[in-house]
Amino acid sequence: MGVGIRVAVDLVAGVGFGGGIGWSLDWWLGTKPWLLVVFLMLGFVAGLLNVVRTANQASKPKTDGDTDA
Amino acid sequence: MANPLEQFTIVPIIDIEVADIDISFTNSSLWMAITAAVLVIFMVVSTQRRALVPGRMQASAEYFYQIIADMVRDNVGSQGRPYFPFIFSIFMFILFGNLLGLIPGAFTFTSHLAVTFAMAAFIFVGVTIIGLVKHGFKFFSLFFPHGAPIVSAPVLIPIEIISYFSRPISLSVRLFANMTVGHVLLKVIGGGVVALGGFWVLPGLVPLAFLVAITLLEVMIAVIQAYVFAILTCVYLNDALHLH
Repeated sequence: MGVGIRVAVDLVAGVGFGGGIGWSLDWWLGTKPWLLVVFLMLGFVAGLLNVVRTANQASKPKTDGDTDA
Repeated sequence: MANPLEQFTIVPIIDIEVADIDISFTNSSLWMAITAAVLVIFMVVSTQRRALVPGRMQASAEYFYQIIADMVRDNVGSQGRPYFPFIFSIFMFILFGNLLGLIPGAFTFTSHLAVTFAMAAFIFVGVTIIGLVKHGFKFFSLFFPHGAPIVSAPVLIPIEIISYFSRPISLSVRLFANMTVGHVLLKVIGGGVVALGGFWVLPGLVPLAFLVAITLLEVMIAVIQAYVFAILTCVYLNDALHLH
């Protein structure tokens, strides 16, 4: 349940932030609705990227000692 | 039946207004103060007698210390040591806030997005400043994956920037959503116990059994969410210090 919510929130945060930027830029530049569409897609990709990173980080084996490179 | 969302109402206790801004001392502030006080008392009492063979209090404080020390070392490395006190404080504050919020009648301040987002935004801004100070202009290489063809920059850089800026959102929403959902669930099932006849009638026993199980689950979630918040702070700090 913990990992599930974590992944879901990661994805939604990406889409939400992308959509927010797109909507604000549209409102500011008067280019409705094109930037919203573009940034929603970018946000979706960013959300997926977050999910992949979360999954990698969750499944990464614990390293012992100091891995300071 | 009682409204399951009523428990999240902010009630001002002492009305304070400075320059038209409402900064009243509310039940949320009260529970933050209680959490901080309990935390300080716990740490002071448990480190009072620094015995070689720790007693119960000292052992529990050392256990918390060990968890966070390991977390910082595994996720950030030796460069993360100066930030240990901050991560330890934020972990203990959220942990105690979550656990004290489970006491019936208490207020869970971590169930408010305003509180969790303030903490996440502070971490986000702080980590970004640390990265900028440590690496200067090179910090922005964080927004371009190492070894990607330069042609892909117009697509990759916006994606990386959105991904970076969505961090405080996901960090705060995760904690807030978990705490809110948990407390609503407890209240709804608690209402079910009353509606089905209370503790001593058979139908009421079924939701009561659920309630006991879910209370235990909530204790677990309170600990896990504090841990997740701290570990993600470490991960973000690591990105800023080491620039993958």
